Amino acid sequence: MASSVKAVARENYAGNEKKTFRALFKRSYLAIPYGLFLALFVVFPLFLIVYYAFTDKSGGFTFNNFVAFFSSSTYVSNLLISIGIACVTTAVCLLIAYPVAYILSRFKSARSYIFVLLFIAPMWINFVLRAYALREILNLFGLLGKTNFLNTVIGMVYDFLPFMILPIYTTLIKMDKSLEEASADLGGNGAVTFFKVTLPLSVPGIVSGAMMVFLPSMSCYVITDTFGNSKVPLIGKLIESMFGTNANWNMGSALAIVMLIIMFITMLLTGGFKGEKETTRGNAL
Amino acid sequence: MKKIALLVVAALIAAIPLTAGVAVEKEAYAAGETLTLKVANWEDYIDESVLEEFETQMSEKYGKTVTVQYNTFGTNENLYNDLKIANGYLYDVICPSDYMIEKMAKEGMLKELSLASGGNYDLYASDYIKGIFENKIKWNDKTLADYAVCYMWGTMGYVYNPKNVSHEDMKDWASLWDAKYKGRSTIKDSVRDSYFVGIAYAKKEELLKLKADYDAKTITADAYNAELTKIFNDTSEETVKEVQKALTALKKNIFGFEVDSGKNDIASGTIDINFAWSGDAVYAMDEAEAVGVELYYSVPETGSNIWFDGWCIPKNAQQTELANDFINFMCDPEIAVRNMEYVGYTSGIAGDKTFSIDYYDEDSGELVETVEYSGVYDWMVQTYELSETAGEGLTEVDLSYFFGDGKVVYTDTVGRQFSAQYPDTATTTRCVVMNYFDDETNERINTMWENVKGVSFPAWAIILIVVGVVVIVGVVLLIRFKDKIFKNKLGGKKGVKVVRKEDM
Repeated sequence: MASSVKAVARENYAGNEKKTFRALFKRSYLAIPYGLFLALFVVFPLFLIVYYAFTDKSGGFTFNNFVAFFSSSTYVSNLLISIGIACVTTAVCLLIAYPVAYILSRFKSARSYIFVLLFIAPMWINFVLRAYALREILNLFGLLGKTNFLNTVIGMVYDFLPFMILPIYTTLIKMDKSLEEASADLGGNGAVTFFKVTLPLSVPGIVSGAMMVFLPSMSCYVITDTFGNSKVPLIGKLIESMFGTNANWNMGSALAIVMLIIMFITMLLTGGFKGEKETTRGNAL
Repeated sequence: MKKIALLVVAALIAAIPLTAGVAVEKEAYAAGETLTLKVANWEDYIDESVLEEFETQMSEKYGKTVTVQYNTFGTNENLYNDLKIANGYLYDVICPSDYMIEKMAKEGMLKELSLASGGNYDLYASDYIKGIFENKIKWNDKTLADYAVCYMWGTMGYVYNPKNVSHEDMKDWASLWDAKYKGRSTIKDSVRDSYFVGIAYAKKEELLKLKADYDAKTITADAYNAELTKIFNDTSEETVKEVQKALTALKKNIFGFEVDSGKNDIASGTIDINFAWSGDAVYAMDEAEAVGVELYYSVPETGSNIWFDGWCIPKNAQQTELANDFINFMCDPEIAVRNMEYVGYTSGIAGDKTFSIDYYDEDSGELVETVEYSGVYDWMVQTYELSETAGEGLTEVDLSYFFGDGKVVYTDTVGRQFSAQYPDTATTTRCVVMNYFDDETNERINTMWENVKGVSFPAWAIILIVVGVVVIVGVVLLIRFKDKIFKNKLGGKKGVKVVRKEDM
């Protein structure tokens, strides 16, 4: 579809100089649905959140929501625990996902995508269903209700692992194999080649994978509810209760802003804003 | 490559449900040949086949196509938020709980009901329910009856497995704190319900003394209930602190907090004690029975919570007349019984009216039998195989408070589904309504609950962690942007051109 549109545009360009503007203009039409979507469901809600975060219940400007957050040791501890869980989940995911992605990318068979499919297929099954299945398995091993933090991490890793595998896999298969050959030619053994060539070149994949695991696992409270029996506090749950039972949208929005800032810091740290390397990054992800 | 891209797209699509938020549907109503009634009710809280019957009946009455748009909500607060966001019209009939009806009414979100006398509620509702709605729950010059008609009601108590838990222990809320049952029980992940348990533990001495007074007949049942109501609704700062202490201790002893998974966990044997609503208790007992496990329900002796869900009409409802018809329809004894058979809670309807119900085989869908009942009471007697005369091995259950004078039944199974669905007088005497908390109280109690649910690190630990994180972040940032920093410095002073590695 997209390629045919391009073809038409190119034809116009070549055939008639005057049509160039129109052709370009038409192509930009394609962005309108996305632009509308973005404005309606991303930008507008964001403004609402900012508005609520800096106002009190009567609508007056205030910083009190943030003051209340940072002066409550429960809230701050809650945030730290969430970050901790997200860090552990990301690390475990990386440890598991990297070898898997590496092996997958080395499959010579033309049917290698079947193996990729094997790792992705579970994602097509309804998450609630998978969660209950895992819950029963944990129960079978006697872990449920006892090791809540461990269960939470297991659940998170189980849920987010594919998000780590895919970007790493895509960077690895796109990597120029001749670089590895060159390394071998210059006398680098397997380990040296891996650590000096393959690993550094796959960093963009690792980074986007880490982002995709780290951020949602900070707030995915369905998992702590299911596997941690709601005993593990997560910032996402706190936000939910602020909008639900507490009916304190201002505080809830302030919490959301705090999370947003953390997200920005993470992006800054991992270079998520650097555009020049887009081509080698985890592709569509 | 394309395949991979497709997979990635699929992965993203799979991720959407995770991040999907609350969708707000706002739809302008256009009058036409069809009348649409928008109903909002709790999940799994109605036999949906009665809705079709309502549509058929009303289509005849109005000579137009009447359709019911049935919506569900998960918590009272969600319903409240939905209505607030819509800022007016969203539903024509809603079914919140007692305290939420009071909150909504106080905020002017509800219409006052004007039920015709001689309607189903007037004719068939239990006098007990009417009494509570008209006299028990009131504020300013209004009562619950001004805004709501009881749909279902119930108590809170324990569902437990007598194989691993003694019946005696289940008469006491403190058993939840008992190390004997460590990791075997759940409480609700809902502040109001769990606050109740916390009070029962914190004020145990007071409650026991009161019970002794009542048992010794030095105070009347009404006075006893009034005193209990006062204690269980105590939200003074001191009490909230005590409750926080009690619940924090409890957190270490329980299996977990839940609102939904408990009824399945108790049926499957994952836990032995589930702090439950009576209707969920009936459900859990039915489920367990299917796999040969006998569960019991008990309302502890020092008192418990009784609650009511009622049909209300929001302020800006468009179909008031149809909404009234709907409420009237739901109060029909036959409809009430069909809903009770489906949800397991107790309808506020108790009256007599002959009707018959068809029972179908669950697997084949074939009609098994048609049973005729002379009313709700008769349905209860037949369903639970109760005896209306005393006999050996039978326990007397006085239900006159609900069904009227002389309605005393005898059963050989106390503590099972029947007891959960129709508590006896002794039980309802010690069950109290939990009032609506005002905003200030609500905030204090929510904060208490967050403290219970969360973990609080000491200040020095927080500072240490934060400083550590900041240092790490700073170092990483410095490494990341050192090129830029150097470039500026050198470029400004000496005019040396620094080429970034990536640019080469």
